[in-house]
Amino acid sequence: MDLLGQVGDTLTPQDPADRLSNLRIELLPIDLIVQWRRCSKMADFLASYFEYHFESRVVAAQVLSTGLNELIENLAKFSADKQRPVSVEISHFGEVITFETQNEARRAEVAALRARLTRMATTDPEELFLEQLEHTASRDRAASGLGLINLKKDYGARLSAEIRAVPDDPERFHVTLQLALEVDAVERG
Amino acid sequence: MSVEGEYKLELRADGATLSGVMRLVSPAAYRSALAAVHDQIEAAKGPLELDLAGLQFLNSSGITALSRLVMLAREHSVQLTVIIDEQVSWQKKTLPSLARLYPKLTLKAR
Ligand SMILES: Nc1ncnc2c1ncn2[C@@H]1O[C@H](COP(=O)(O)OP(=O)(O)OP(=O)(O)O)[C@@H](O)[C@H]1O
Ligand SMILES: [Mg+2]
Repeated sequence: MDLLGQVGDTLTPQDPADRLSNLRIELLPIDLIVQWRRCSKMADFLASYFEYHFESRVVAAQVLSTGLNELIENLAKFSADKQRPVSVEISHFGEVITFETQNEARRAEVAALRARLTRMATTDPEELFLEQLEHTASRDRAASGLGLINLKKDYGARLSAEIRAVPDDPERFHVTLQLALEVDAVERG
Repeated sequence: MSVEGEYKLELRADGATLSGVMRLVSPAAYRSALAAVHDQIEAAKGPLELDLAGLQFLNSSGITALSRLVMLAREHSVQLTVIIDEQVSWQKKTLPSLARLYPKLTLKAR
């Protein structure tokens, strides 16, 4: 299977010149691994930074924190080298808010991510949600594999990844994951 | 009662209350944290009530862990009522889907 290229939903391209606000943070996954609560703290901080764009600030902060926490946890868990910087970037475009993460990951994770996003692009998330829970309960109790599915199911998140080769290392890939949320969905909670 | 940083688990005779923020690293971490609730379900002689209304956040590994509790109740035919707060986004969104795993599970708004 070819791992390279774009996979998942087709996201409407956004012009950076249209951003109402933007914030990008670079960090080392090792810090999240050493103190897992930093994932939650970072998500809460970013959510509270962006909540001022919304009328129902309390609800918006909950939704933003939920989404960001899942992506930040994934950066911690699936980055190949925990001492190599990863990034998370939030952009507000008026009707859409996007989260973008960048990290390097091993072949197995990238293959799993590709398979998941491919399936998610064509299958009802509610159905995938129940299927994933029954699957892990009966066959893979150490796994969860629910984060991305749940964000799509609960908030209609659209998800896309771009996989690029890492020069001189055929077992590693550069992953850019993009998640787009309608501002209305964030506002409604 | 046990307090693990950001969340609190309180056990009652007929169930448990979870509150705060629960974003543990894996389903295994939840399995240990919620062992007492597993035991309650396995030993239940009657209906149980799980009060989640004060649980501000639960990450997706926690949703998986919660689904295992629901499946355990299903396996033992334990009537389970989950108390929720509809102002808390994840509870309003995720818990109705979880309830589909087990028809004898009731969601009750606080
Ligand atoms: N940033 C990433 N880099 C590489 N692989 C990833 C990344 N994010 C997710 N994946 C892959 O996609 C799978 C699905 O991710 P998802 O967040 O849905 O589940 P999970 O993190 O395994 O479990 P949960 O989120 O329920 O705790 C992961 O198991 C992993 O293999
Ligand atoms: Mg995850």
